[in-house]
Amino acid sequence: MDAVEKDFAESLLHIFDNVLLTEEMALSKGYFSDLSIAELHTLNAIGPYEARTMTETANILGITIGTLTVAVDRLVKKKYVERQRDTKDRRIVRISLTRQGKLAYRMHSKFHRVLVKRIMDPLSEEERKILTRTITEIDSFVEEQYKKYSSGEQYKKIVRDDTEV
Amino acid sequence: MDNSKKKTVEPSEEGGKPAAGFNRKEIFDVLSSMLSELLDMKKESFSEDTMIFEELPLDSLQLYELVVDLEEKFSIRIPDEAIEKIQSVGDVVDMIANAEK
Repeated sequence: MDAVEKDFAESLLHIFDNVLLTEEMALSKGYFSDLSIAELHTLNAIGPYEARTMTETANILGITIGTLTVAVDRLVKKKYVERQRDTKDRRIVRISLTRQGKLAYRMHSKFHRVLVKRIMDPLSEEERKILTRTITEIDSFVEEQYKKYSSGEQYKKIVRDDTEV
Repeated sequence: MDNSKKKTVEPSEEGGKPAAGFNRKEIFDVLSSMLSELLDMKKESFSEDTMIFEELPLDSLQLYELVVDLEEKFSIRIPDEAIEKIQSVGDVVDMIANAEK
């Protein structure tokens, strides 16, 4: 690895760790301190509008229905999520965010927006394009690696391990 | 509400109230009631010219409470980009009147 590559590797790992740490700190000091990052991402996957089925949500998160059921049970208990049975097909359970869940979702997406704004604001139009293209390429590459190693079920475990590094 | 005739122009298929069926006065009325409850201030304290962030003690959580409650009340969707453009109470009324159902 040459010096540039070394700097790049270090920065990449730093960003990775610090975004997670900052998110966690912001969360623990904020209004929704009873939520973990993984739980917030579950709220994100459910989204603030139409109720989703468990299968849809599990697919978005890349986890099994079993894992999602445990997570949703906890979120229902904390009053962030509610379950409804489909009126036409009682076998289908739909989940949606409560008012409290929608608030947490909105506050969390604000965190992401502020982060992006701070990074993008000092850049020129051209620099933004290059950065976006590069980040998208890194994202696809990391996603590919992740798929190679995991069987979906490890999503939560990975999130937890990363924060411990 | 006295404009039931107006509302039949755009009946909502799901039975929700279309935001377009509310006139500015009705929207302002609901909005000032919500602000009044949220901030524990008199309803008369607000006008369309009230500057939300300069004149009202509204924090970011309260802003989102307002947004979530307005979405529910008017059966509309308020995207983050629309929230970022808000300055006055009148801007919020415009945003609701033009919101996507």
